[in-house]
Amino acid sequence: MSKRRLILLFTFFIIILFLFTFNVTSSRYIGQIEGKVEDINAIPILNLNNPVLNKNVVDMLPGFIDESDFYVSNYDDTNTNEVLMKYYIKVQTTDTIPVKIHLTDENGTEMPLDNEGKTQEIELPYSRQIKNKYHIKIEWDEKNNDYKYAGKDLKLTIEIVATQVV
Amino acid sequence: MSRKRFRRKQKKNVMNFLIFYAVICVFFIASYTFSRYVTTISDSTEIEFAKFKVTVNDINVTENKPFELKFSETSNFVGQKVAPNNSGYFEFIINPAGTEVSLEYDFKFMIDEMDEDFKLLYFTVNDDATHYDIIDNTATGDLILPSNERGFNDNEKASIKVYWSWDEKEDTYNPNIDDLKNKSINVFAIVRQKIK
Repeated sequence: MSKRRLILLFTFFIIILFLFTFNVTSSRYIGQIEGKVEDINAIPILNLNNPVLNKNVVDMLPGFIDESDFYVSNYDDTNTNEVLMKYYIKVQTTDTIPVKIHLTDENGTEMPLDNEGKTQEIELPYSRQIKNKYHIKIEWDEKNNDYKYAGKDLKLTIEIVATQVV
Repeated sequence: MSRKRFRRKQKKNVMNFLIFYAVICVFFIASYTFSRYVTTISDSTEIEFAKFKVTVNDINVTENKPFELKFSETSNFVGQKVAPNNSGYFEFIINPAGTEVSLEYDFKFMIDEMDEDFKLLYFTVNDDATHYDIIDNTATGDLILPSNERGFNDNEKASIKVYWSWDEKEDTYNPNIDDLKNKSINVFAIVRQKIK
Protein backbone atom coordinates (compact mmCIF):
# COMPACT_ATOMS: atom_id res chain seq x y z
CA MET A 1 0.00 0.00 0.00
CA SER A 2 1.42 3.36 -0.99
CA LYS A 3 1.97 6.21 1.42
CA ARG A 4 -0.69 8.26 -0.36
CA ARG A 5 -3.34 5.61 0.17
CA LEU A 6 -2.37 5.36 3.77
CA ILE A 7 -2.93 9.11 4.23
CA LEU A 8 -6.33 8.87 2.53
CA LEU A 9 -7.33 6.00 4.79
CA PHE A 10 -6.17 7.93 7.83
CA THR A 11 -8.17 11.03 6.78
CA PHE A 12 -11.24 8.87 6.22
CA PHE A 13 -10.99 7.48 9.73
CA ILE A 14 -10.53 10.91 11.22
CA ILE A 15 -13.70 12.14 9.44
CA ILE A 16 -15.72 9.16 10.67
CA LEU A 17 -14.48 9.79 14.17
CA PHE A 18 -15.40 13.47 13.90
CA LEU A 19 -18.92 12.72 12.65
CA PHE A 20 -19.58 10.22 15.43
CA THR A 21 -18.10 12.40 18.15
CA PHE A 22 -19.84 15.63 17.29
CA ASN A 23 -23.08 14.15 15.98
CA VAL A 24 -22.85 16.03 12.73
CA THR A 25 -26.08 15.69 10.81
CA SER A 26 -27.41 17.08 7.55
CA SER A 27 -31.08 16.96 8.53
CA ARG A 28 -33.09 20.17 8.67
CA TYR A 29 -36.59 21.39 9.30
CA ILE A 30 -38.95 20.85 6.41
CA GLY A 31 -42.69 20.93 5.91
CA GLN A 32 -44.83 20.29 2.87
CA ILE A 33 -48.53 20.78 2.32
CA GLU A 34 -50.72 20.60 -0.73
CA GLY A 35 -53.45 22.81 -2.08
CA LYS A 36 -55.83 21.79 -4.81
CA VAL A 37 -58.48 23.66 -6.75
CA GLU A 38 -61.00 21.44 -8.46
CA ASP A 39 -63.02 22.66 -11.45
CA ILE A 40 -60.79 25.68 -11.81
CA ASN A 41 -62.03 26.80 -15.22
CA ALA A 42 -64.91 29.24 -15.24
CA ILE A 43 -67.57 27.67 -17.46
CA PRO A 44 -69.74 29.69 -19.87
CA ILE A 45 -73.34 28.52 -20.03
CA LEU A 46 -75.79 29.79 -22.59
CA ASN A 47 -79.01 27.92 -22.99
CA LEU A 48 -81.68 28.41 -25.61
CA ASN A 49 -85.05 26.96 -24.85
CA ASN A 50 -86.58 27.44 -28.20
CA PRO A 51 -89.41 25.76 -30.01
CA VAL A 52 -88.87 27.96 -33.09
CA LEU A 53 -85.13 27.66 -33.54
CA ASN A 54 -85.46 26.18 -36.98
CA LYS A 55 -88.95 26.41 -38.27
CA ASN A 56 -90.32 25.69 -41.72
CA VAL A 57 -93.64 27.32 -42.39
CA VAL A 58 -95.41 25.82 -45.34
CA ASP A 59 -98.59 26.66 -47.17
CA MET A 60 -98.57 30.24 -45.99
CA LEU A 61 -101.15 32.65 -47.26
CA PRO A 62 -101.18 36.44 -47.25
CA GLY A 63 -102.33 37.67 -43.84
CA PHE A 64 -100.55 34.78 -42.12
CA ILE A 65 -99.47 35.46 -38.54
CA ASP A 66 -97.38 33.15 -36.37
CA GLU A 67 -96.33 33.91 -32.80
CA SER A 68 -93.97 32.00 -30.50
CA ASP A 69 -92.02 32.44 -27.31
CA PHE A 70 -88.47 31.38 -26.65
CA TYR A 71 -86.15 31.69 -23.69
CA VAL A 72 -82.46 32.46 -23.25
CA SER A 73 -81.02 31.39 -19.91
CA ASN A 74 -77.59 31.20 -18.30
CA TYR A 75 -78.00 27.82 -16.68
CA ASP A 76 -78.68 24.24 -17.55
CA ASP A 77 -79.63 21.19 -15.50
CA THR A 78 -76.34 21.13 -13.60
CA ASN A 79 -74.44 24.41 -14.03
CA THR A 80 -74.87 28.14 -13.87
CA ASN A 81 -72.89 30.46 -16.09
CA GLU A 82 -69.58 31.54 -14.52
CA VAL A 83 -68.35 34.08 -17.08
CA LEU A 84 -69.78 37.50 -17.89
CA MET A 85 -71.00 37.42 -21.47
CA LYS A 86 -72.98 39.49 -23.92
CA TYR A 87 -75.22 37.99 -26.52
CA TYR A 88 -77.27 39.08 -29.45
CA ILE A 89 -80.19 37.41 -31.17
CA LYS A 90 -80.04 36.96 -34.89
CA VAL A 91 -83.29 36.26 -36.72
CA GLN A 92 -83.08 35.16 -40.32
CA THR A 93 -85.74 34.21 -42.81
CA THR A 94 -85.52 33.09 -46.37
CA ASP A 95 -86.58 35.92 -48.65
CA THR A 96 -89.08 33.76 -50.44
CA ILE A 97 -92.01 35.43 -48.72
CA PRO A 98 -92.25 39.10 -47.67
CA VAL A 99 -92.84 38.73 -43.95
CA LYS A 100 -92.25 41.20 -41.17
CA ILE A 101 -90.53 40.05 -37.99
CA HIS A 102 -91.39 41.57 -34.63
CA LEU A 103 -89.20 40.64 -31.70
CA THR A 104 -90.15 41.81 -28.21
CA ASP A 105 -88.73 41.15 -24.76
CA GLU A 106 -90.75 40.00 -21.78
CA ASN A 107 -91.82 43.57 -21.05
CA GLY A 108 -93.27 43.87 -24.51
CA THR A 109 -90.53 46.27 -25.64
CA GLU A 110 -89.80 46.01 -29.34
CA MET A 111 -86.24 44.89 -30.11
CA PRO A 112 -85.11 46.40 -33.40
CA LEU A 113 -83.15 44.21 -35.79
CA ASP A 114 -80.38 45.62 -37.96
CA ASN A 115 -79.80 44.82 -41.63
CA GLU A 116 -78.33 41.44 -40.71
CA GLY A 117 -81.27 40.63 -38.45
CA LYS A 118 -79.28 41.18 -35.24
CA THR A 119 -80.43 42.78 -32.01
CA GLN A 120 -78.21 44.92 -29.83
CA GLU A 121 -76.02 43.07 -27.35
CA ILE A 122 -77.61 42.00 -24.10
CA GLU A 123 -75.63 41.23 -20.94
CA LEU A 124 -75.67 37.65 -19.65
CA PRO A 125 -74.64 37.70 -15.98
CA TYR A 126 -72.80 35.01 -14.03
CA SER A 127 -73.36 33.42 -10.63
CA ARG A 128 -77.06 34.18 -10.51
CA GLN A 129 -79.56 32.39 -12.70
CA ILE A 130 -81.59 34.36 -15.19
CA LYS A 131 -84.05 33.38 -17.90
CA ASN A 132 -85.00 35.96 -20.51
CA LYS A 133 -88.24 35.44 -22.36
CA TYR A 134 -88.66 36.68 -25.93
CA HIS A 135 -91.66 36.79 -28.18
CA ILE A 136 -91.38 36.58 -31.94
CA LYS A 137 -94.17 37.41 -34.35
CA ILE A 138 -94.08 36.63 -38.07
CA GLU A 139 -96.55 38.62 -40.08
CA TRP A 140 -97.39 38.58 -43.80
CA ASP A 141 -99.19 41.68 -44.91
CA GLU A 142 -102.34 40.50 -46.64
CA LYS A 143 -102.08 43.32 -49.21
CA ASN A 144 -98.77 41.95 -50.39
CA ASN A 145 -100.39 39.07 -52.22
CA ASP A 146 -98.48 38.74 -55.47
CA TYR A 147 -99.04 35.33 -57.08
CA LYS A 148 -95.24 34.81 -57.35
CA TYR A 149 -95.22 33.88 -53.66
CA ALA A 150 -97.67 31.06 -54.17
CA GLY A 151 -96.37 27.65 -53.17
CA LYS A 152 -93.23 29.04 -51.46
CA ASP A 153 -92.03 28.00 -48.03
CA LEU A 154 -90.54 30.20 -45.34
CA LYS A 155 -87.64 29.09 -43.21
CA LEU A 156 -87.05 30.92 -39.93
CA THR A 157 -83.77 30.62 -38.02
CA ILE A 158 -83.03 32.11 -34.63
CA GLU A 159 -79.41 32.21 -33.53
CA ILE A 160 -78.01 33.33 -30.19
CA VAL A 161 -74.37 34.42 -30.32
CA ALA A 162 -72.63 35.05 -26.97
CA THR A 163 -69.19 36.55 -26.47
CA GLN A 164 -67.18 36.66 -23.28
CA VAL A 165 -66.72 40.13 -21.82
CA VAL A 166 -63.05 40.82 -21.10
CA MET B 1 13.88 -9.92 2.31
CA SER B 2 11.88 -10.96 -0.68
CA ARG B 3 9.41 -8.53 -2.24
CA LYS B 4 6.48 -10.80 -1.35
CA ARG B 5 7.46 -10.92 2.28
CA PHE B 6 7.93 -7.18 2.37
CA ARG B 7 4.37 -6.60 1.08
CA ARG B 8 2.92 -9.03 3.58
CA LYS B 9 4.65 -7.16 6.39
CA GLN B 10 3.40 -3.84 5.05
CA LYS B 11 -0.19 -5.17 4.94
CA LYS B 12 0.19 -6.41 8.49
CA ASN B 13 1.31 -2.94 9.56
CA VAL B 14 -1.69 -1.32 7.94
CA MET B 15 -4.07 -3.77 9.57
CA ASN B 16 -2.51 -3.09 12.95
CA PHE B 17 -2.89 0.63 12.35
CA LEU B 18 -6.58 0.25 11.45
CA ILE B 19 -7.33 -1.92 14.44
CA PHE B 20 -5.60 0.60 16.67
CA TYR B 21 -7.78 3.41 15.28
CA ALA B 22 -10.94 1.36 15.56
CA VAL B 23 -10.17 0.79 19.24
CA ILE B 24 -9.57 4.50 19.74
CA CYS B 25 -12.91 5.23 18.05
CA VAL B 26 -14.71 2.83 20.33
CA PHE B 27 -13.15 4.51 23.34
CA PHE B 28 -14.30 7.91 22.14
CA ILE B 29 -17.81 6.85 21.28
CA ALA B 30 -18.55 4.52 24.14
CA SER B 31 -16.42 6.33 26.70
CA TYR B 32 -15.02 3.11 28.18
CA THR B 33 -12.29 3.29 30.71
CA PHE B 34 -10.05 0.70 32.29
CA SER B 35 -8.84 2.78 35.16
CA ARG B 36 -9.38 1.33 38.57
CA TYR B 37 -10.47 4.43 40.40
CA VAL B 38 -13.99 5.33 39.48
CA THR B 39 -15.34 8.81 39.91
CA THR B 40 -18.65 9.83 38.53
CA ILE B 41 -19.70 13.34 37.97
CA SER B 42 -22.90 14.25 36.25
CA ASP B 43 -24.49 17.38 35.02
CA SER B 44 -27.44 18.13 32.80
CA THR B 45 -27.77 20.65 30.07
CA GLU B 46 -31.03 21.66 28.48
CA ILE B 47 -30.62 21.77 24.77
CA GLU B 48 -33.18 24.05 23.21
CA PHE B 49 -33.96 23.39 19.59
CA ALA B 50 -34.68 26.29 17.29
CA LYS B 51 -38.41 26.69 16.73
CA PHE B 52 -39.98 25.94 13.38
CA LYS B 53 -43.59 26.92 13.05
CA VAL B 54 -44.62 28.12 9.63
CA THR B 55 -48.08 28.46 8.15
CA VAL B 56 -49.05 28.88 4.53
CA ASN B 57 -52.51 30.39 4.11
CA ASP B 58 -53.14 29.62 7.80
CA ILE B 59 -52.23 25.92 7.56
CA ASN B 60 -49.18 24.68 9.47
CA VAL B 61 -46.76 23.19 6.96
CA THR B 62 -45.96 20.27 9.25
CA GLU B 63 -49.60 19.22 9.45
CA ASN B 64 -51.01 16.94 6.86
CA LYS B 65 -53.84 19.26 5.89
CA PRO B 66 -54.65 20.82 2.54
CA PHE B 67 -54.52 24.58 2.24
CA GLU B 68 -56.77 26.81 0.21
CA LEU B 69 -55.52 28.91 -2.67
CA LYS B 70 -56.36 32.60 -2.48
CA PHE B 71 -57.34 34.09 -5.83
CA SER B 72 -57.23 37.68 -6.97
CA GLU B 73 -60.58 39.39 -7.20
CA THR B 74 -62.38 39.14 -10.49
CA SER B 75 -64.91 41.37 -12.13
CA ASN B 76 -66.06 39.40 -15.13
CA PHE B 77 -66.09 35.80 -14.01
CA VAL B 78 -66.88 33.88 -10.88
CA GLY B 79 -64.34 33.94 -8.03
CA GLN B 80 -61.84 31.15 -7.23
CA LYS B 81 -61.65 30.30 -10.95
CA VAL B 82 -59.68 31.22 -14.03
CA ALA B 83 -61.06 32.18 -17.42
CA PRO B 84 -59.63 32.65 -20.91
CA ASN B 85 -58.44 36.09 -21.97
CA ASN B 86 -57.96 37.08 -18.36
CA SER B 87 -55.13 37.32 -15.88
CA GLY B 88 -54.78 37.34 -12.12
CA TYR B 89 -52.75 35.88 -9.31
CA PHE B 90 -52.71 33.24 -6.60
CA GLU B 91 -51.62 34.51 -3.21
CA PHE B 92 -49.76 32.62 -0.51
CA ILE B 93 -49.29 34.13 2.92
CA ILE B 94 -46.29 32.62 4.67
CA ASN B 95 -46.38 33.30 8.39
CA PRO B 96 -43.11 32.29 10.08
CA ALA B 97 -43.87 34.05 13.42
CA GLY B 98 -41.78 32.47 16.17
CA THR B 99 -39.56 30.49 13.79
CA GLU B 100 -35.92 30.80 14.74
CA VAL B 101 -34.27 29.75 11.49
CA SER B 102 -34.10 31.26 8.02
CA LEU B 103 -36.40 29.63 5.48
CA GLU B 104 -36.57 28.60 1.87
CA TYR B 105 -39.85 27.99 0.09
CA ASP B 106 -41.04 26.38 -3.13
CA PHE B 107 -44.52 26.67 -4.54
CA LYS B 108 -44.72 24.00 -7.18
CA PHE B 109 -47.71 24.15 -9.51
CA MET B 110 -49.07 21.15 -11.37
CA ILE B 111 -50.92 22.67 -14.34
CA ASP B 112 -50.81 19.78 -16.79
CA GLU B 113 -54.58 19.68 -17.10
CA MET B 114 -54.88 23.33 -18.05
CA ASP B 115 -55.24 24.83 -21.51
CA GLU B 116 -51.88 25.22 -23.23
CA ASP B 117 -52.28 29.00 -23.28
CA PHE B 118 -52.61 29.16 -19.51
CA LYS B 119 -49.24 30.37 -18.19
CA LEU B 120 -47.63 31.26 -14.89
CA LEU B 121 -45.77 34.51 -15.52
CA TYR B 122 -43.76 35.59 -12.47
CA PHE B 123 -44.15 36.14 -8.74
CA THR B 124 -43.77 39.07 -6.38
CA VAL B 125 -42.96 39.26 -2.69
CA ASN B 126 -44.93 41.68 -0.50
CA ASP B 127 -46.10 43.57 -3.60
CA ASP B 128 -42.56 44.67 -4.35
CA ALA B 129 -41.97 45.86 -7.91
CA THR B 130 -39.42 43.11 -8.54
CA HIS B 131 -40.70 40.27 -10.70
CA TYR B 132 -39.12 36.94 -9.85
CA ASP B 133 -38.92 34.16 -12.41
CA ILE B 134 -40.96 31.02 -12.17
CA ILE B 135 -38.86 28.07 -13.25
CA ASP B 136 -40.48 24.73 -14.09
CA ASN B 137 -43.77 26.06 -12.75
CA THR B 138 -42.11 26.56 -9.37
CA ALA B 139 -41.75 29.82 -7.43
CA THR B 140 -38.68 29.62 -5.22
CA GLY B 141 -37.47 32.12 -2.66
CA ASP B 142 -36.29 32.59 0.90
CA LEU B 143 -37.04 34.42 4.11
CA ILE B 144 -33.88 35.36 5.92
CA LEU B 145 -34.03 35.73 9.68
CA PRO B 146 -32.46 39.11 10.53
CA SER B 147 -29.19 38.58 12.36
CA ASN B 148 -30.28 40.78 15.25
CA GLU B 149 -33.49 38.84 15.85
CA ARG B 150 -33.94 35.58 17.68
CA GLY B 151 -37.04 34.68 15.71
CA PHE B 152 -39.44 36.05 13.11
CA ASN B 153 -42.05 38.50 14.40
CA ASP B 154 -45.77 38.51 13.74
CA ASN B 155 -45.37 41.36 11.29
CA GLU B 156 -42.83 39.51 9.16
CA LYS B 157 -45.37 37.60 7.09
CA ALA B 158 -44.59 37.26 3.41
CA SER B 159 -47.19 37.68 0.72
CA ILE B 160 -46.19 35.71 -2.36
CA LYS B 161 -48.29 36.47 -5.43
CA VAL B 162 -47.94 34.14 -8.39
CA TYR B 163 -49.32 35.82 -11.50
CA TRP B 164 -51.08 33.88 -14.23
CA SER B 165 -52.34 34.75 -17.65
CA TRP B 166 -54.58 32.92 -20.10
CA ASP B 167 -54.28 34.60 -23.47
CA GLU B 168 -56.12 32.68 -26.11
CA LYS B 169 -54.34 32.98 -29.41
CA GLU B 170 -57.43 32.13 -31.37
CA ASP B 171 -59.58 35.11 -32.34
CA THR B 172 -62.72 33.12 -31.79
CA TYR B 173 -62.19 30.76 -28.94
CA ASN B 174 -65.10 28.40 -28.90
CA PRO B 175 -64.19 25.61 -26.53
CA ASN B 176 -66.07 22.44 -25.93
CA ILE B 177 -67.60 22.97 -22.49
CA ASP B 178 -66.86 19.39 -21.49
CA ASP B 179 -63.17 20.03 -22.18
CA LEU B 180 -63.19 22.88 -19.67
CA LYS B 181 -64.89 20.92 -16.93
CA ASN B 182 -63.20 18.90 -14.18
CA LYS B 183 -59.81 20.55 -14.59
CA SER B 184 -57.75 21.18 -11.51
CA ILE B 185 -54.55 22.79 -10.33
CA ASN B 186 -52.43 21.29 -7.57
CA VAL B 187 -49.90 23.31 -5.63
CA PHE B 188 -47.25 21.89 -3.34
CA ALA B 189 -45.97 24.35 -0.76
CA ILE B 190 -42.61 23.24 0.59
CA VAL B 191 -40.98 25.27 3.37
CA ARG B 192 -37.64 24.22 4.79
CA GLN B 193 -34.84 25.55 6.91
CA LYS B 194 -32.31 27.48 4.87
CA ILE B 195 -28.82 26.19 5.39
CA LYS B 196 -26.14 28.75 4.73
